[in-house]
Amino acid sequence: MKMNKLFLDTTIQIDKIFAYEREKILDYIENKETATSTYVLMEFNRRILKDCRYIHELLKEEETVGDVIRRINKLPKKWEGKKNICISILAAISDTGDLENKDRTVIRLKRFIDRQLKKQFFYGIINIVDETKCDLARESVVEKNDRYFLKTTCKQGEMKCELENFVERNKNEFEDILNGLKLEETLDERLENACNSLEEILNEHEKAMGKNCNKILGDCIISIETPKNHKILTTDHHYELICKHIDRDPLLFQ
Amino acid sequence: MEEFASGKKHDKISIDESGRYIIYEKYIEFRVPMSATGQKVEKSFQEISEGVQLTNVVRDFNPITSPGELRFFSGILELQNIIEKVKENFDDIVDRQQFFFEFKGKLNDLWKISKGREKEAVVLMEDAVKDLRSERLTKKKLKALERAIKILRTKIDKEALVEIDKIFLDARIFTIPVIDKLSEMYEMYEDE
Repeated sequence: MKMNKLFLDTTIQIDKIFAYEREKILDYIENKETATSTYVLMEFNRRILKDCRYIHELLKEEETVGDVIRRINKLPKKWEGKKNICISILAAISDTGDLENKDRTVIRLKRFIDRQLKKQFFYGIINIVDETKCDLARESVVEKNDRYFLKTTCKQGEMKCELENFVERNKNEFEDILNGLKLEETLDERLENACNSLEEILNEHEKAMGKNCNKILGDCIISIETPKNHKILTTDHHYELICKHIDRDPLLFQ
Repeated sequence: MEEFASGKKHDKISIDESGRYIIYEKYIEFRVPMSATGQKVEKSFQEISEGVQLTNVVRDFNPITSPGELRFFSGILELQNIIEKVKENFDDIVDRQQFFFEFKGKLNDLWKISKGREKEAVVLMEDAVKDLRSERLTKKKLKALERAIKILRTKIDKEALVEIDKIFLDARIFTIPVIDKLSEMYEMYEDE
């Protein structure tokens, strides 16, 4: 397989913007036939854009950056991850020497939400795959009275995507992944959950939509929607286990 | 007590390539009463400019309408001059450091006098050079900074800032800070 066709998953899309290796990533994908998908965009929005919006809301509500940090630090334990992520983002974008002044921090966040995150998501990308017709990916950030609004979750029965048809069309590959994963000696919790969801959606395709689509089956959906002549560029090692059971090739960026 | 905004009187005046702005060089400092607006500001300029036919030029070409806007624009021109010095002294690592450091300092001065969209432009420029050390500066990056300032000389709107984003990215100048392992964190906490 030629190495010049790459499909960028959500992890590499985030790393392309935020990681120390971002310059390497940009150089690597330059002059290659690159693709990503509306589904990846949905995951990207639901992660980073949603959290930037959340921090912006807190900055609107609280007096200073310090107050926002203190508030996030008090989040209940079940949101430990959200706490760590939001503190990391705030630490990076605020002027650490002046936590009383939030002007620059707010300007940066607005810039990210308004234009930069989405623009940089598409930077260096040539083709957009739209196999799932993800409806959430078509949602844009709306600004109203200096506040931002973005739909990032959907409920079963309310979606307009074609994930159900996608599962039907690619039933064999979903089955191959499930059967392959079952043969693995050990699976981590994430892949165990994926197996349970795969069984569920193979019985009832519409169950692929909603929370399964959002949180559990993401890697499987991305693996299958990737064109067969593309390598999946990722930093997520789960793709190795998933892709070896179907005709896809992940390329772990290191 | 009357408040004053300080400004500059320019002896040498030329028109920007876009035709929208006047380029002032060789200036002396002056002060304008804060109460002066619109025509009054122009009048103040005329009074202090002695013989320089500034009023017509201001009316025909220059959308600058307040002392604050003028000071910001003067700051952008100063940035341009400093970048020119960095370019001229690029091969001397000591001088390059001196002028590039001066450039960063000037941005902070500019922040203090900027308003609205100007502030967005300043923070974007600050973020572009924050982690850029003079010894790591390349001609490609320098050229990108020069192009960004040239754009800011002619307009400061969303379209201009989007254009600058692209110029910076093409030159691998990053204005979004590094948050390493962010994608890993998202993978780790996916179930929340």
